[in-house]
Amino acid sequence: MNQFSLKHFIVRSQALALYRDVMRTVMKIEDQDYRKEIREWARSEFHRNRSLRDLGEIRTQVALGRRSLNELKLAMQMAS
Amino acid sequence: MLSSTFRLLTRTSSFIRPVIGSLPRRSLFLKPTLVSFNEKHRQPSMIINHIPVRQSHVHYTYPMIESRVMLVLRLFDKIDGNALQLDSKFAQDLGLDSLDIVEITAALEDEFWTEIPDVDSDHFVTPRHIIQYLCDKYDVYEHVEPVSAGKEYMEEAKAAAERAHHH
Repeated sequence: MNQFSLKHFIVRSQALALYRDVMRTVMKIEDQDYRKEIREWARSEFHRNRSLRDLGEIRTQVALGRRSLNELKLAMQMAS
Repeated sequence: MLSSTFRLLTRTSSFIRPVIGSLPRRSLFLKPTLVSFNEKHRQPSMIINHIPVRQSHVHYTYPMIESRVMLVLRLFDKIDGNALQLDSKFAQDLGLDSLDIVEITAALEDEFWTEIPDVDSDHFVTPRHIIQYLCDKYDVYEHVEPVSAGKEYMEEAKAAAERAHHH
């Protein structure tokens, strides 16, 4: 029996939505070097946590990611 | 590491301010050039244009969509350009996972100036699916074989009429 529940599915789609928002924001960075660096950083963060199975941990990481994304958007606004 | 990255981002931008000349996005391969900001030669046209202008008269054709999609896929560093075919599956043949599909979708959104929701990008299995999706979005039918219902229908209708007549 598959151990993944509906809650896992929902949390997974939230994580993917966060990754999508990160990528869309990263596309707006004008400098190509910074864009590559931030994209690599985001990729490594997501891939580091990909084997998490506990719902609470996943939700915490998603919330942390969202906070980091808001910081990134603020930094981009200040830089432009 | 995150905070040092952000500090780098904000610190360097304060003494070099690259200004991207806003070129009209006629050609898909035209990238905006970086022009150094100089107080004396400032021109109103050389302003960072964050709100991009969408050309409404672009005519979408199947070869254009196909070549752009394959270009975006080839530029993705996790895809091997030699192994990429129209029908190569992302998960099995090219070894991509859901995070990579999200990245590809974001790049395609950037290229085609459109939004592709998550529900649609979940169904992308091969590049052909992506091309078909975009063709549907932009109403491109050139590659679809036209089904002529005229001839066969007329023959069937004639045969049915004769059958009804003779019974």
